[in-house]
Amino acid sequence: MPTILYNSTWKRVFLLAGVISFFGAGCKEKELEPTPPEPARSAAATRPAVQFEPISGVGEEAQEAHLATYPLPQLHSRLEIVTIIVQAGKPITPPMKYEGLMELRAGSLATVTENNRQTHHRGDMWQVAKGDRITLQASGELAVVRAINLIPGEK
Amino acid sequence: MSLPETRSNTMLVALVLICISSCGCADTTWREYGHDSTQFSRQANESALNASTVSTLHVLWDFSVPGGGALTASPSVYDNTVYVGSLNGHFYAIYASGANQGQIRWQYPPAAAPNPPDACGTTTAALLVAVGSGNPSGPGIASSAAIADSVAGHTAVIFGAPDPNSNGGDGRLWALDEGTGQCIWKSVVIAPTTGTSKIGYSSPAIAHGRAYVGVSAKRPDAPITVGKVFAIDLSNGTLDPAFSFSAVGGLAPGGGIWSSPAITPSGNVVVTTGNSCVHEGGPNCSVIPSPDYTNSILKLDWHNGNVLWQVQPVAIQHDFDPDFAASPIAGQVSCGSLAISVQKDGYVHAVDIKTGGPFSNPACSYAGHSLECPRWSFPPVANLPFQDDGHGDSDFKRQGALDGDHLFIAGGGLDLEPPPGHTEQAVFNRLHSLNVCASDADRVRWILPNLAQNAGGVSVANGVIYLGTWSPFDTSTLPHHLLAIADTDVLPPASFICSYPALPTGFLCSSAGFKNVGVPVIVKDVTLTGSIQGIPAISNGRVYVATAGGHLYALGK
Repeated sequence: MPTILYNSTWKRVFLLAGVISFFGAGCKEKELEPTPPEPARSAAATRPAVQFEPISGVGEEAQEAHLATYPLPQLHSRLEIVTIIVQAGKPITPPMKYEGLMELRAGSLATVTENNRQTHHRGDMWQVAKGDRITLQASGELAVVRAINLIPGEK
Repeated sequence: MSLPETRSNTMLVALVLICISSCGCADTTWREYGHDSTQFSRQANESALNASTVSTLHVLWDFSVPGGGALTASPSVYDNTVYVGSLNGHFYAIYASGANQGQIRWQYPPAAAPNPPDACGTTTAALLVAVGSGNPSGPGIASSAAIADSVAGHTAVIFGAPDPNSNGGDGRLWALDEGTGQCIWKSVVIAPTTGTSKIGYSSPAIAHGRAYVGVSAKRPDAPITVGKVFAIDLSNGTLDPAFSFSAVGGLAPGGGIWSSPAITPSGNVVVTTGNSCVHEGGPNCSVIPSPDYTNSILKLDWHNGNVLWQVQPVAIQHDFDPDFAASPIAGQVSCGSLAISVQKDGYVHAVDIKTGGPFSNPACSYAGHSLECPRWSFPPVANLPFQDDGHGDSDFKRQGALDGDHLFIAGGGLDLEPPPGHTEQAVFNRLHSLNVCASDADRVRWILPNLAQNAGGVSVANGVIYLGTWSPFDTSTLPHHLLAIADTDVLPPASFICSYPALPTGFLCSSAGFKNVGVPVIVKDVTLTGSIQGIPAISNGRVYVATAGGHLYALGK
């Protein structure tokens, strides 16, 4: 064996390399971004997209979509459920054709009735009467209002 | 082997072991938004502040921006200096400690224009967009600074800002010498004033000799812009032409990058994106874009920007502004590697980062979209994407902090909200601690409820969570709070609460399938001037907090 290997400097070099490779080997075994199995989920049930249309007489700042209608035969009425989108910017005053409830579903919104301005947050509900003049103004970029209208005289 | 030689070798081994165990552990800097490119917002090397000592936390110094100017960026800390930009268009380097603590080390642009002009053609004009800038991510600097080594021979401070000498504020990255503030380079224009975008809150993530940064709308969604991520070469500020990511295809805009990219353990890029224009109106907005990367968490190949997976929790037809304002957290935990972020509707989503790709899963996809499923969502979700009208802007806009498997984040979502009409129990003013590797049933570790203001940016060190309270779009001087909260691993909880806010603690809570969890102790509550929009930075026994009221604070024991 060449005498060079007996040199203590070389021994130290080998020792150092051994220690580094020991720690290095430990690191290599750990996968950085392991790929686990996919979680078991039921297939996505895609619903048809809701079709929004401008509210007549209001303009492009507000749109509505009719979601569902439920008959109330004993009351000779029906419930109509509508989603209204109020875009940021110009306040809108949609016609209140029926008595009902409104719920702020997303975003933030202010309602103005005569001189009474009220700020609403997600989950707030308020009652409206037929013929009310209520102005809606989105405080953020967009607000979504769910209207539940009681339409009398129909089955 | 002789005895001296054995001793010598033993000492060598000891030296190597000491070096391996300590090298890198003494770094107490806070180099980027979220501490580093993982954005864990965790200081691993804090020795002075802990649950015992933080009770004496108080303001050590208060730098008030000259002439006023909101600080909506987060501070970075390096070389005994705190770095932060202001919406007034000035970038400040403030001495962190010592005889000059709280005083300006340098500012940019400098008080006197360099003569001869420097590499940036700097004048004394503030870095502002002249027109249509939009608060509070403009008109000046909302991008937090990253400290990068080996930038043309310098250690550099890098941030996004308008260039007042270029078309009234073209958006660029700027690289300044960390010690002197002298310009090293300004990047190519990535947000021209002729377009609809600017560099807003997005802060550069440093990796592969590049700075990755995104662009968002000049004003919040008026009009919506096309979100893009750019890779800027750190050596000279040029654009890496091989990397390209746009959040939408076709003519409809969308997917602005309001957040800061994170870097995964193997070096890829995770971003979160803004909303589409499908319900906000505008040209071409009735057409669903293809591809559609809006409202998503995405993993991008760092070489070229290709999408390796996409999670879009709310279907675009039901996009009522629930997009991601919060940045992602990306890194290793005990159960693998996760990318985590919270959407504005309050839902927190954690996605396996995974090796390779592209990945998609039909269980979470819908027509025209190839989407991946998250590993988990909080509150738990049976099916994604959401397809209802309740997902909008509920002010969950701040990312959390991650310490081991423990996430600290303001999250919530419809499934945790109280019944209609009970808005006093809104959940955006609660801080959750979640175990990211636990089952859904054991996800919630503790809840800090009923904060007087929104729970904002979070950071953590030694089991103490630093939480700033904030108010959206508020650049006033109204008082807000920095809270030092003891994790329940280091101090027992003060009380207990049901993980569903509408139920009382006790049997009713547990029998309904929820969990009675602890309420952690607030060890210290410090009142500060202005909303805390960003993340508290922890470094060398101090917590640095910037406020939209125009103050930079250093707090210590």
